[in-house]
Amino acid sequence: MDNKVYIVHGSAIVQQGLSEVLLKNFKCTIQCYYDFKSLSESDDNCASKSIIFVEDKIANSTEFLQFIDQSHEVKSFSIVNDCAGNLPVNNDYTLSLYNSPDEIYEGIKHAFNTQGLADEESEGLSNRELDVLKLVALGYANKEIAEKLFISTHTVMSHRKNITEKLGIKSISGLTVYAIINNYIDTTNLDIKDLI
Amino acid sequence: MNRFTKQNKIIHLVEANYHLLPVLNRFGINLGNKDKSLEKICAAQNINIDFLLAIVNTFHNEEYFPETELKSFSPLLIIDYLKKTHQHYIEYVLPKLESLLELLIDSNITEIHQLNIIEQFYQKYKKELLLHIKEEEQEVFPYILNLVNNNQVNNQFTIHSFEKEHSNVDDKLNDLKNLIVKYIEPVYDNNICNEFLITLFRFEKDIKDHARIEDKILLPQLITLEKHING
Ligand SMILES: [Fe+2]
Ligand SMILES: [Fe+2]
Repeated sequence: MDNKVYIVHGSAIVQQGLSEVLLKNFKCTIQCYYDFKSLSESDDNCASKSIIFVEDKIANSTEFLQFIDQSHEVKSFSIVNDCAGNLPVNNDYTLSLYNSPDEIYEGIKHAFNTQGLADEESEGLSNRELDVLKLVALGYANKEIAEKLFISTHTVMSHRKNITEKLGIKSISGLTVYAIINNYIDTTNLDIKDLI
Repeated sequence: MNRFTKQNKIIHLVEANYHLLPVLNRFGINLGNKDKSLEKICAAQNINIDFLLAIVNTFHNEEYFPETELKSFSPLLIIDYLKKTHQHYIEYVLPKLESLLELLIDSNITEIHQLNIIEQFYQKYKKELLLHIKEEEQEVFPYILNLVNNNQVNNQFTIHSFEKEHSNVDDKLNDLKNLIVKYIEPVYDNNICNEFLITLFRFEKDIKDHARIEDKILLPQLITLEKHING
């Protein structure tokens, strides 16, 4: 699954610079617009999980605030020009034009993780998903996993669905192989052949 | 995409899609037919040209799947083709994958042994696939042949769908691909790995086509036959 990112900013230089930092660090596809009108008129459906970076003056506009209000799964960052002073009120995160690439990376990473989107290194499995993955790899059934982790079977199933989606691995044996090669489970006292 | 016709020659087919070579072999067609058309070749070898064209065209073009036409062919023809396909997998494709995997493992000079785990996974996949093929060859196909030849229905016989088994086997093949492409350390000879993956991709396409014929043509034929005989 590709992460969708939108940049809505009047400056081509900002669009370019931010795209570069994003592409260097994250798996994502980026769509740039100069104003909010072009984004809202495009065929792009950014209702599902995506992140929007907007110029601060756009971020404060009524249309945009309305849009964010209606799209629950969209996270927005406003890009502020510190010299101008007007801090936006309704956005999830703020980036400054004067942030270093490292600061931008850290800020974005934070948002990506809370959003559940994949970070390059970790494949984006949450700690809970990792717990589920380990137990799946060890051969436990959904019901047993639910009991061990004190969650419902339904939740286990939804974690499993997310794991498969994030990793691109569908079979139990395949997930076991993934867990072994990443040392998520200790196989010293186990016969790998039986496990897979 | 164009469809192949009776007038085409082998060279037209393989130039358009060289993956058709083993498909032709399954019909008993070899190369070296000079400039003869498919029609001539089939007539000389007593091959049903319409069936050959239907199979070749569906294999070549995933979008093209004339269910009604395919169902009109005798199950005997279809089973024969499916069996030849199994044989090709067992005698050629699987051994090739295995020897490439061995070469790949041998090409690793580091202490990282992830490929051995991949091999265990491959073995598991192979075991499942062979079991599935065995079930088809020893139970399903003979049952259908018996239906056709002797009009005998066995009401104990319950296999009316393979789709779940097919998708299990399919998932494992997909996982094998993903594990190698995305997750294991590339501590091996790239050329061998590419060769392995190319063989895997080709096999994946071939076996999907095969399963589609079983799911969408042969099993519906079985059900129709049973209904017909049971009145
Ligand atoms: Fe088969
Ligand atoms: Fe099958």
